[in-house]
Amino acid sequence: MDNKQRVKTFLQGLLADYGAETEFDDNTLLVSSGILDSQAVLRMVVFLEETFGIDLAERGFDQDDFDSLTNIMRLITP
Amino acid sequence: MQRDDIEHFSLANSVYRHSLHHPAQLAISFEEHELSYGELAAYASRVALALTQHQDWVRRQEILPRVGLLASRSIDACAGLLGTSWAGGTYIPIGLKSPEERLIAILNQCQLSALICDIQGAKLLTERVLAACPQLILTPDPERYIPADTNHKFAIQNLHTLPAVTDHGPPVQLKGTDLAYIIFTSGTTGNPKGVMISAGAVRHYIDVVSALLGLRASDRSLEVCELSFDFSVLDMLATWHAGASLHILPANRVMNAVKFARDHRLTVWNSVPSLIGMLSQIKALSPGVLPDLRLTVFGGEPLPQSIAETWQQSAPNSTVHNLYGPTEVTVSCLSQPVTSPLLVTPQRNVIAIGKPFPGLECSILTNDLQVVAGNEPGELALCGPQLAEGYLDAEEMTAAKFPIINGKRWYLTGDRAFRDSSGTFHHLGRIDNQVKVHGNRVELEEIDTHLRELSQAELVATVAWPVIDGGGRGLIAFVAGAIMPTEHILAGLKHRLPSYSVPSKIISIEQMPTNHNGKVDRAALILALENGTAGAQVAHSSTKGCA
Repeated sequence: MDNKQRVKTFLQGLLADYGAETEFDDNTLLVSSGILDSQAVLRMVVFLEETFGIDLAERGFDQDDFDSLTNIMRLITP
Repeated sequence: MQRDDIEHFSLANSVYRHSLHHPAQLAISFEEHELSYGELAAYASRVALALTQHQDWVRRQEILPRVGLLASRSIDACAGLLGTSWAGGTYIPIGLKSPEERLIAILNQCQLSALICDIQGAKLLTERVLAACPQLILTPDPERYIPADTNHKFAIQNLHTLPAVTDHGPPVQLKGTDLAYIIFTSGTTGNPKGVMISAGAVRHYIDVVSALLGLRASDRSLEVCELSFDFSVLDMLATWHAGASLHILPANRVMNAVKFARDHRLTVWNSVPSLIGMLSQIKALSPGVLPDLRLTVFGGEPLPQSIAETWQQSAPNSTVHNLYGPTEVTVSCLSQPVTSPLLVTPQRNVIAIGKPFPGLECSILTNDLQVVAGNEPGELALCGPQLAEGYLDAEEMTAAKFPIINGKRWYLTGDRAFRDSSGTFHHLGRIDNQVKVHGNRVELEEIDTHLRELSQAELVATVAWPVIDGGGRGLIAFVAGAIMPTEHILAGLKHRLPSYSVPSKIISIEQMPTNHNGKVDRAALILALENGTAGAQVAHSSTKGCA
């Protein structure tokens, strides 16, 4: 499974936990739209750290980096 | 001094005063919009005029006209609050997290003269909610949010295009005993309680808290609270009292609080401590990340030592105050400076709650309302000009919680505390079943009341779990011998309770643990969760509330 598919599968799991529609496209806004909340972002942070070794303390946290699949992929492959 | 002799007051006075002397100074900022004091006063006076021109704007004996604010944190919400006060009314914030049933119950109870919505609030105006609304509704974009076939029943005005007021006068001044606001909090009986706060109480509070914090006109303050949380009274009124600016972070951007504070060069931070816990978890905090902050105010829940330490590193140039106070004593009434070495409450690892504000008395009482001996623990009680008038339409509950002791009126907080030998007070938790979840005040018995009805189980209990740094991060409900399936119970709870009060899980168990009094043993349930031994049939909630 490529990186993008791994992230997408993870996000689909999150959306399912929130009882939300699990089909979305690359630019769907998942957080600022209110579909996901801070607890979900926290899970994303942990997932990206553990799976891809992303160190957010180094680059500074910005909620926008987590708002869509496209934005998250930029964190992984800048 | 009789409370009625307190000089007349309006929550809008400071905005009015600064609009005369510094009209171009920034007062409020939200998303792309900024209003100066001149513009904010003009907006508030337009709202005031629209309110007072309607036939329902009447004072019924001692009861001022009441205005519901169905709004999140926004410029429209603040203008609605200021406009209500400007016109001489009582404002009543209605939380947007409330489900339809609770909205309707509050609307019916309050006998409003008008309702003011912002865009977030307007989205909740369903046909059923509208049926409980007063005739006068001020809302942005009414064509979009109010169905054309119902709008003939209402006097609807577009909040954004209210007629300009030429030469508005000063705000209407309230008497000390008139109600400035009513804020609803969680109640044990299953119904929310409306806490009635007088203009005299707010005036005293703003005077003493402003002197304590020392805000300046050059300050730029953070606002992360909903109006239905009374911490917002501090954020707004202390900021405007100083002629400083308020910078509102929308609810869906709260995780960006650190970036927001840096980008807007904020100098004052106000929040519940659990926000810092969350920001720390998402790695938004690092040493020295907020060098411009010069003042921090924590309140609303216990301040864990670990969070105080993290914050001292993140905002090294900030003075920090830990404020304590129930809604019933006007936002906050004790304060503790957070300085090294930290004054920590033994065994709880939280910062002491400090000493009472000037003009307030604080005492530790036994079960039979006698003052305890020495440094013994007991119930924290408060007395003085910041006490609420009581609970809306609940005289019995008011009499029980605000007893007269030796000729003085006190408020029994329900918090356990003790006074150390230096005269500093320490908080030891609740004597009842009230908990804080992400800073929201939650009565476990309120959830239990609904659980019992929905499950038709004999024994039910809700606990805060997990508890991290002394604050609840979630709720778990237990039902023993439920007739209804847990999914059904959970769905029902979502209709009846604000999202932060809905348990994330309902666990169906065969037998409820009880203590020697035959009461449900919540401690045993928590222990089972800690050990991972709780659980059978489980329903998960998908909506989780957060700060």
